[in-house]
Amino acid sequence: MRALLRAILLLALSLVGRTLDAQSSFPHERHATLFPNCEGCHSGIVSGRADGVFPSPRQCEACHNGTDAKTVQWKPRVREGQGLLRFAHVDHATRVDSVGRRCESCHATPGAPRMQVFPARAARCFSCHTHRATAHYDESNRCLTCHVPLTAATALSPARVGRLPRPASHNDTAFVANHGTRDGGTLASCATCHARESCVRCHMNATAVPSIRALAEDARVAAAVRSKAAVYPVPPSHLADAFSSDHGRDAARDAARCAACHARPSCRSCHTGPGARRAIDVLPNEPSAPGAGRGVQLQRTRVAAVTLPAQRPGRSVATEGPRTVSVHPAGFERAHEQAARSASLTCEGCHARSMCSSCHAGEGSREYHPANFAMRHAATAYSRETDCASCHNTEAFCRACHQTSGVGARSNGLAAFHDASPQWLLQHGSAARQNLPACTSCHKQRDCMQCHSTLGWGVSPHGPGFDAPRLWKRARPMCLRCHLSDPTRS
Amino acid sequence: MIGTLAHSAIACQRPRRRRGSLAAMLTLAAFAGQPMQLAAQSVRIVGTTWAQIVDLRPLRLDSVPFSATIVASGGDRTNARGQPVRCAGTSAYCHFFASGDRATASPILQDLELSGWGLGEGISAHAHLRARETLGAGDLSWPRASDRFDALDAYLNVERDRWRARLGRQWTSGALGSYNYDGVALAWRQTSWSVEGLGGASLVTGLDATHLSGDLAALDDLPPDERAWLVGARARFRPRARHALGAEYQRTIRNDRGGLYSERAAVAGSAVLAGVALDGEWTQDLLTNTVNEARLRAERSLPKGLIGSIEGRRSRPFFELWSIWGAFSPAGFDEVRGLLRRTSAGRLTAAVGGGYRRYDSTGAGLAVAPLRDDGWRVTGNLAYAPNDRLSLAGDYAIDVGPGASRSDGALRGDWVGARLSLGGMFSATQSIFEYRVGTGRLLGLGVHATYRLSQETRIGGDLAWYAHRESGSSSGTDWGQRRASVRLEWAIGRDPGAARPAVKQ
Repeated sequence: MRALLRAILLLALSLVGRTLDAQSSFPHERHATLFPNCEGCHSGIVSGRADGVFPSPRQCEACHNGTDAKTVQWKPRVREGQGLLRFAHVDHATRVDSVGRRCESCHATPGAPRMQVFPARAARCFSCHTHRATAHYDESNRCLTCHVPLTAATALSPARVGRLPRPASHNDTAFVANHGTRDGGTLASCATCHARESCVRCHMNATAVPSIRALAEDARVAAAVRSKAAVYPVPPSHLADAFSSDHGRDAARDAARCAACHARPSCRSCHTGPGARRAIDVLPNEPSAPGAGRGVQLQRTRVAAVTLPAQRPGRSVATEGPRTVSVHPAGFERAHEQAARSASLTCEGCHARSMCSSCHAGEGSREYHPANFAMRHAATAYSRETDCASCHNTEAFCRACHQTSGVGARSNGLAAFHDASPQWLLQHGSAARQNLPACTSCHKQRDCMQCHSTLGWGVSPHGPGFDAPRLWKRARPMCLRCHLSDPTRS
Repeated sequence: MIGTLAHSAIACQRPRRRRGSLAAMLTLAAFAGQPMQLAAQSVRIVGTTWAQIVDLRPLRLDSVPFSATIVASGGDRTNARGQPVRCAGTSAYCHFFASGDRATASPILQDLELSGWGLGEGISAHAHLRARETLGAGDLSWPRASDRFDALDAYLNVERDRWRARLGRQWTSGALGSYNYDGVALAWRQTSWSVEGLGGASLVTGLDATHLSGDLAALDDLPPDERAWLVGARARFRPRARHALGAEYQRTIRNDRGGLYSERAAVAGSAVLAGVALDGEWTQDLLTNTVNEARLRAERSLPKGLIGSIEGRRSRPFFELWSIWGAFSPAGFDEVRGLLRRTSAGRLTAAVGGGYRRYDSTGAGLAVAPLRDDGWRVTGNLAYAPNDRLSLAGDYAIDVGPGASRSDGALRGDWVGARLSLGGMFSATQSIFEYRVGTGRLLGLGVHATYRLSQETRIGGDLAWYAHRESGSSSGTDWGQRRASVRLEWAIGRDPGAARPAVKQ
């Protein structure tokens, strides 16, 4: 019994549905032989009278009176308020296409049977309204040619506003990055689907941007975006290797563009010093409008709390939430000396001096050296691939460690360490000149002075081109360590 | 903060006299005008505690009776294990080095980095302190373990829009290296250029102590006999983002004015010309009138996403002349290097490089038994990060030259989670010892992990094991090691550079 009731109910609903469908989709083709022209039912299209756009029920009842034909439920469509279209039939009613057709030029395909009509499609507009566009959602369209701004389309419900189609171009990351740089005509098109709340959702500086300020506010849009999080995709330009070093130039030139996504806290995440103050102070410090986005949330890599990304290529970015920014390219901790020396980067713009000492003090583990460095480091030091002295004191660190590990020289070592060369005593001078820092990492000065001083055997350690007078003049105490008197006179 | 406390204290006092009351009111008013400024006062302390244990077999000098040695092919004497020995004159014993018993070192390091600010507009104070200790009764002495306390830097900083002044122990880094001193630095800056002058009591590079420090005296029987003063200047010019030029001058003067410890100057710059990125530097030792480091590198993008660079370099060691080493005429070398790298979609980076260097004539040694006077190296790196959390990397390098040579490779994997990070590595090194017989292979295996206890606190540790296997002739050396370390990092106080509470992360 219950199943029967359910079936009856479904049938009734389907009938009602048909009636409602009939209201909005009149079977034109079935009436093709009855009506000689369109204006008989749609006189308002030509005259501009709203009550004549659709036929009245009384016109239908002329036939559908229950005797000549079955009765039908018909209610003419009534438009309340402005829709999204700027189109006015009365402006187009007198125009004909190349074969003399009028209504069919928009509401029928060429060659179709008479009164096989359909609602006009946007593509038909381009047959006359040629701009640069070839498709309805082409981003180079001037939407305002056919559409009114969304805020003026009062007939659209909030739900309909929330379902407005999204052009495919909007899905491109580059579009999000560059959509504010378009010309005024293109920007005006934004108003077809957007109100100010659309922009405020992400832009911290919304009230300062003329094109955003030009948009009207709309409660329906506000409701539609209320639950949507601000989105800040990373522009392609930000992924370039040189971006970390070059973005200051762009910021100084056009800080307003940065302000679209960034507020001062974005910059201050890294720029703790005063270096970039002028460019940063141009940015807003907090959202400029209620409900506005907070801007890109950045947190810098903290040396004390982040695994050294030495081996990680590229940079770590995410599209949502706070992003950890690896400002410098991979491997920078091993290759920053040139940037520091030439001032191509202003280190103090972001780093306190302790940043230097925390690594260059040379004892704390910062994972600077690769694995197995204890075994590797001899060759690295010999080839001066790394400047050991920038972090380590040769005497206090290298020599101490070499003594601890037994490599350090002993007075009774008798050259036993260098056992690969039987003529080591005769060869050591050449080896020493090639890699003197390596010698000093084990040997004390007196080890050499036993022979190389006037107090010892008097063997000169000075090589070709040694400028004795120059050193005697400017570093005399050093000379007197080995010489009892002025060596330049002897 | 101070204003609030003063306000409370004064408010609790009962007015004794009208004049006292007036003074209290004026004081109160003075402090009342300050709270907005003083509210910004804060201190941030970052601490790092690092303890490690290292276990290895140090080399020991050993001896063998002359009668127990044998003459090997080539005429060299060896002990019974085939290890070369040195026999001096008529001595009854010959000497050699070999690995001794296993020994352990267990140093612990405590760093504190302090920053205080809000003392007035642009005024802040900074310090980086370090304490050292040895845990347990380790039988190996860790470098500098006896130096229990160091102030790496401790200075007062005054920052203004156009100038900056620093007073105290501070670091300076540039083309002449990184070193610290006790003194003052004044900097004046404009948009595209800056100049800085500095001066004060010089500290030994990398030692954080004066030239008369006992640390040096303990390691060298001829330590410096005078303190030194440091004066220097630096100018920087950056007309455009990728064009920069820096020049530095520095002089270290003996306290008794009897001479100089060093006098150097450097110029370094970078530029982009016709799509080629150029950078170079020139460092001159003015005391010996020699070039320490001269380098010019050119880099440009190539087809198929490649980036190539080539570099010419001249390098000669530098020594401060408180020691005699600078008078030993160290020889330099000229080197040419090349590097080719490619990054695909920011995820895969590959690089290959190489270099060749040739040393100057030393004017010493035996003509009949010359030492090698050139060297070369080849390197290759591959790094892959399939996502933001995982990264894999491998590298291989060969470096052959006078003194020491090596070939080694390493693989490393890291996974970084929101709180937990894990990683592991494997390495293999073949090393030819410094003018010692034989080669050895060292295989290494290690794991490391860190866990973030809170936003500002992290604990981590690592374990590594290295196994040494001799190859070729016997050298009696075993550099097999076991290493472990634990590290705790923490911070308290607001980061002055962090975001404002309005956009708290």
